[in-house]
Amino acid sequence: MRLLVIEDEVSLADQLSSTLLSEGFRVEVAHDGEQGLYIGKEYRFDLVVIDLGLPKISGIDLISKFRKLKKEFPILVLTARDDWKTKVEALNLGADDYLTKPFQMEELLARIHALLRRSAGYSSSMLEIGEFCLDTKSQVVKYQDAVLELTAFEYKIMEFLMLHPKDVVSKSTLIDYLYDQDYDRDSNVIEVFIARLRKKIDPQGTMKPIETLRGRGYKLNTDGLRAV
Amino acid sequence: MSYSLRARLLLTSGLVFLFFFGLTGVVLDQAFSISVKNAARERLKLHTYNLLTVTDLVDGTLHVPSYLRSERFNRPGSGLYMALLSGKGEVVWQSLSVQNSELYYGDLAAPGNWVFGTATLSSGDSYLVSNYGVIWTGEDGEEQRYTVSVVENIDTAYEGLGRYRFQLVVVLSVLAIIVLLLEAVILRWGLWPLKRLAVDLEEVKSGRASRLTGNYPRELLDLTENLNRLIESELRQRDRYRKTMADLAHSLKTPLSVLKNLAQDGKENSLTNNIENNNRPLISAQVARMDELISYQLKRAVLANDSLNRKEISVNAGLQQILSAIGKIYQDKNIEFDTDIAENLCFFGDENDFLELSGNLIDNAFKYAKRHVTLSASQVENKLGPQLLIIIADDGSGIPASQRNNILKRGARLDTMEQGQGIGLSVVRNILYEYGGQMTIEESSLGGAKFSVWIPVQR
Repeated sequence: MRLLVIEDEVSLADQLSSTLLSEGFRVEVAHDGEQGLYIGKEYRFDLVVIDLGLPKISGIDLISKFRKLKKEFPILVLTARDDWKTKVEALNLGADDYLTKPFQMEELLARIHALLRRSAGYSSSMLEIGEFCLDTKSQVVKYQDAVLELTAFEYKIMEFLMLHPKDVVSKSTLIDYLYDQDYDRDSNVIEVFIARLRKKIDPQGTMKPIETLRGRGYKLNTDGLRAV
Repeated sequence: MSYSLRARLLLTSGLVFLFFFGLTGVVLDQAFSISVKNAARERLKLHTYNLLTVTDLVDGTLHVPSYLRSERFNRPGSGLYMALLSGKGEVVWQSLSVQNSELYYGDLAAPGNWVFGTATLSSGDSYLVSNYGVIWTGEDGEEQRYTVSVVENIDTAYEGLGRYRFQLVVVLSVLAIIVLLLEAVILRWGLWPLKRLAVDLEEVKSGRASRLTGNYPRELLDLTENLNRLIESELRQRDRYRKTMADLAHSLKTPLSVLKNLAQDGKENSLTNNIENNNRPLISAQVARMDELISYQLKRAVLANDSLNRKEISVNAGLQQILSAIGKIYQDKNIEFDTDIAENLCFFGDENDFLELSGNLIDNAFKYAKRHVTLSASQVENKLGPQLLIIIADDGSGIPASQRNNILKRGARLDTMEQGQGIGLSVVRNILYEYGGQMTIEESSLGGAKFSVWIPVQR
């Protein structure tokens, strides 16, 4: 998952970024509203964390600009002010949740996971399709109650596909999601991961959990997962 | 600093009086000067008629007495002259006063006609000239035309005019000065309440008085009442800040001492080890407590109920804003909520206070509800007058009767409250106290808690 953190206080931005990185997210950081708006406009993000008291463009204006640009990523607001007027304004302008400072990182991570789930249409931290189940909190994947042993990369690919169940996900999106920007995009590493995932989830080859759409990418076969 | 009120009023009324008295002077002068000129003409006419009565044509010769009745015609250089001019313009007779005087008699007049005019001679003297045309018929029936010319020095003719003008200027100037002095006295008396207000304000500023108590005129009552409200609100606010600071300092001491103890333990046994072991949740809890205390006291300090800040806030719009925001936060809980908000309801106060009050109550209901929240707002009448009534109920686990009184009791400091109770209801309680409102907690028909809040509707 790719996250954008727009926070002007450098020490807090660093703390956020390192916590989110260690949680397996890819993180971009902007230190003012203008930079945040540019990065948010130019790249694809799964969620944006915005501090309300930003220099150059305020957090409130930034939320409204993103929504006017039809950016649909969930927005989590960080604010030092906890009055209802500010909360109501931010939420009614397009933010999806808020967190008042000082906050605990566990709380922030829980909110981020909840927003990501919600934007994918799931209502709890357990993403379930048929008897296939992925817990975003504990990062455990189960099939018919048996835990599947996945590597970190395999889990991240599976989580990404589960969070975008209706989308065709291109190879470059997955590379972009898993690696830094300068990664060699011709490498066939994604094919290798997908092949391993298919083997681990569906050793008999009956469900075909991940479809390959030639020249376009991969798509979760929700019907296949439900069928068994 | 701009001109004082008194100087402005004196200056403008002074200018108005100057214009008014000037105009009066000009009008009176004109009227008097016209009447003086008319009187002079009438006098010259009278002299003409007098001459005609004593003049006669006998044997073709005109007989005029040497001495006339008016003494000035007989004294040389008296300034009043008379002459008889023939139809050809030749002087056939002159009064004795004409002797050695150079005169100009003007144009001849047609019989029965008056010709009036003025003439200025080379000596610089100006004269009024009156000419009247007559026809004498001799015994032989021959008609002879004459013009009777009466000439009077203009200075003597208009003798009273100069004196009148001088008197007019003196009288009007004295009047203007008296009126201006009266005006100054009236202004002093009229503006006295403002001066008194300034003195009273100075008393308040210096701390010798706590409010404006003077007996002010009706026009200033609104101002002084509002100033008194402002002063009272300022005093209340100052008092609240002082109490808030004292409470905050006091209540922060407990968590701080816990942290201090932890640090001292740490010195003895290595702080990091201690934190790594059991104290991390304790530190976390104390920090969270301090954060809550700061938030609560800050909210209490900025409560804005003073009559100067009161605005008409639409209850419907405010509640809809809160509901749409809270609905977003609790989206995952799939709460079903029913609202029944009467049209055109108003809250008279500060918008922030209303959003805090309703936001905290609705947030509380959504937080503890299992599936269902109801919200109603209406205006009711009770013994305290019209009240805005907001009722919020949920189907959560409710509040035990034994705890309800504790929540409603005002004055308990947050650090004496149960941990985990949160600051939301304390903020609601403080706002209600400021607005003279009330709150009750009961069991709702949905099974959870039901909060009813009454706020007086005062414009």
